[in-house]
Amino acid sequence: MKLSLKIKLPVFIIVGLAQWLVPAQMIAKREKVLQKGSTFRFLTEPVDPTNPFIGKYITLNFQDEVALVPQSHSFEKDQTVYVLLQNDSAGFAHISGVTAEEPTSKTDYVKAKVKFLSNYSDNDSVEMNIDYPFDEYYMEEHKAPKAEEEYRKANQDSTKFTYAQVKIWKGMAVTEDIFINNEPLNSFFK
Amino acid sequence: MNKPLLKDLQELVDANIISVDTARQITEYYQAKENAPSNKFNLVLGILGAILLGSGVILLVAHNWDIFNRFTKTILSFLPLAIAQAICIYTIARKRESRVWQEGSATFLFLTVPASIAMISQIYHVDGDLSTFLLTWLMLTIPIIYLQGSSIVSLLVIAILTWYGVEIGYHSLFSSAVTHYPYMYVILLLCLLPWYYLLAKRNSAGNFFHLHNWVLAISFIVILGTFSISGGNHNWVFGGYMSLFGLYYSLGNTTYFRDNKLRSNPFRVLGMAGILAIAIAWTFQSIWSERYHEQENSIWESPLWYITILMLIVSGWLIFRNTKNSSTKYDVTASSPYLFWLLLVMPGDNSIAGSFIMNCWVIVIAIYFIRKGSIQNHLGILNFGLLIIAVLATFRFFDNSILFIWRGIFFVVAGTGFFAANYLLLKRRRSLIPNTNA
Repeated sequence: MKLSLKIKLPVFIIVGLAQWLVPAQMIAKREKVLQKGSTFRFLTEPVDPTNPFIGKYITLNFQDEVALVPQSHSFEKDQTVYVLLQNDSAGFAHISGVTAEEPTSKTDYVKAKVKFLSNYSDNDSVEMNIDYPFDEYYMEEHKAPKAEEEYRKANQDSTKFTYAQVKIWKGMAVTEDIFINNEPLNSFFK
Repeated sequence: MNKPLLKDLQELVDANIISVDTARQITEYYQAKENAPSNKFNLVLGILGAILLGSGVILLVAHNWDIFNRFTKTILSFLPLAIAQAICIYTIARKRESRVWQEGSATFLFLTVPASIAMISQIYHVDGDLSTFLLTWLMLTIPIIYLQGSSIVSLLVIAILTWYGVEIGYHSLFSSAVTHYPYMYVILLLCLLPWYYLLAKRNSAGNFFHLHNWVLAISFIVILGTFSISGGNHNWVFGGYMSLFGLYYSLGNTTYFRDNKLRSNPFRVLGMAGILAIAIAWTFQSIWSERYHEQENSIWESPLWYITILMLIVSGWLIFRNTKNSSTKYDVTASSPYLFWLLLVMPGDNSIAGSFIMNCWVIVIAIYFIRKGSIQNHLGILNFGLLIIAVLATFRFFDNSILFIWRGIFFVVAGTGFFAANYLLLKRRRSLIPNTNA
């Protein structure tokens, strides 16, 4: 296409800036969460798959990912929900409620999706399984399989427990680290 | 340019046989001819180099370098992007005439954009929703096509866009959950329309135009199924695909594409192959009775239905135009979708009639090509027609619903036909040769 340099260059600069802006705003949003967010610890069960672009990660299956909602609920599978969180006496995260509307008075909530709903007839409520947006923890490629092995060992030992430490602020979440018995996962490779 | 020729030219000028102008024109002609292939070669090398380099960057990023802290990683994630952008700006400002620079720099930039997003995702453990990732990547890179004039980026965009469509569309197609249609596929593809138009207008005989046709034709085949309804009656989808292949076939036979070689006419090749594949699949009685037991009209609710109607209308119009602009007889193959739909919507259990008519129809198509090959004295077309019969025969050989005696007769007739048709055509050729010699 015969566009003159006068048009091409400024347009390219705008496109180029957009190419910077997208990753930059990804950073900015998450840095804000790391600064302002509250820390939650989620008990986990990891395994290791691959994303073609981002690399090796361990999938975190959270122990506390079920919320009880009344039978008369109007939630659907794949729907976006806001999960309200609070720490229990042992210092681990627990779901204190789920809403379809974004809370305005609190900051300790995370935007998630409904994985599935299971209905038990002997109960007044329905179990809602939640798909957290922080269930992938990226690691250096040769460490991810080892991390999974380390986890399996910890799992066989009933005295050990694994958890993800996550900063949460106004719906967004950033995973800081994974711990096995209060030791960061990376410390097992040193 | 070779030296003896230059010397000869000088000699001819000196002897006043040709003028200085003519000598210059001859020199220029040979120089241009010499430059053309090497330019093409350089272009291919430049593009391949950029693709390898860019993919290498993506893979290196995916390794996830623990030795760097978060700050260093963040800087590094922008580094390939910054380098690629700098090369692109240099190309826009200084290398505007060089195709190698344009295509190479654009391809490299196209691949560094996802690398930087991936690295940020890695640093902050951003949940990798692949379809959103692909969509962001495409929206940030589609302008490069127009700014750098890059056909390779345009082809890569179509490929990635197809991947996106598959991610969105086929993800939950076979479950009864909510169906997601890849509407963004259509919208982003429309953004490529001006570029495609430019390619067609500027150089419709060029390799890039043919490559676009191939990639687009394959992409549509892949994506069409995503517009069907999830958990519905999948037999209707065959009708949709038959209409697409019919449209391809008629498009490949328009005056615009008709005279192209097969390798530069993807519409005719894929259309023909698709029509035959579906037609032959539906010569089996079992697929018809399955359709009867699955009667369900969920197709009305899916966009595929409306796309199909549109395709049938457009191919009807193309068939009308093609017949008007052609001296040859009406091409029966093009009307396959109409017959197929007629049989599909027929109420009741028509499994025997359906499979019988489809068998006949495949034979009709085969005969059309045998006849065409014989009229045009073209062994390739003739044997293509015979090949269709051979394939059909192979399937029927194992079809136990037909009596052995009928199968036997069909085979003997088909085999004799093979020999007879080839023999007659060769005989006619031999009789034509002495005529032309005389």
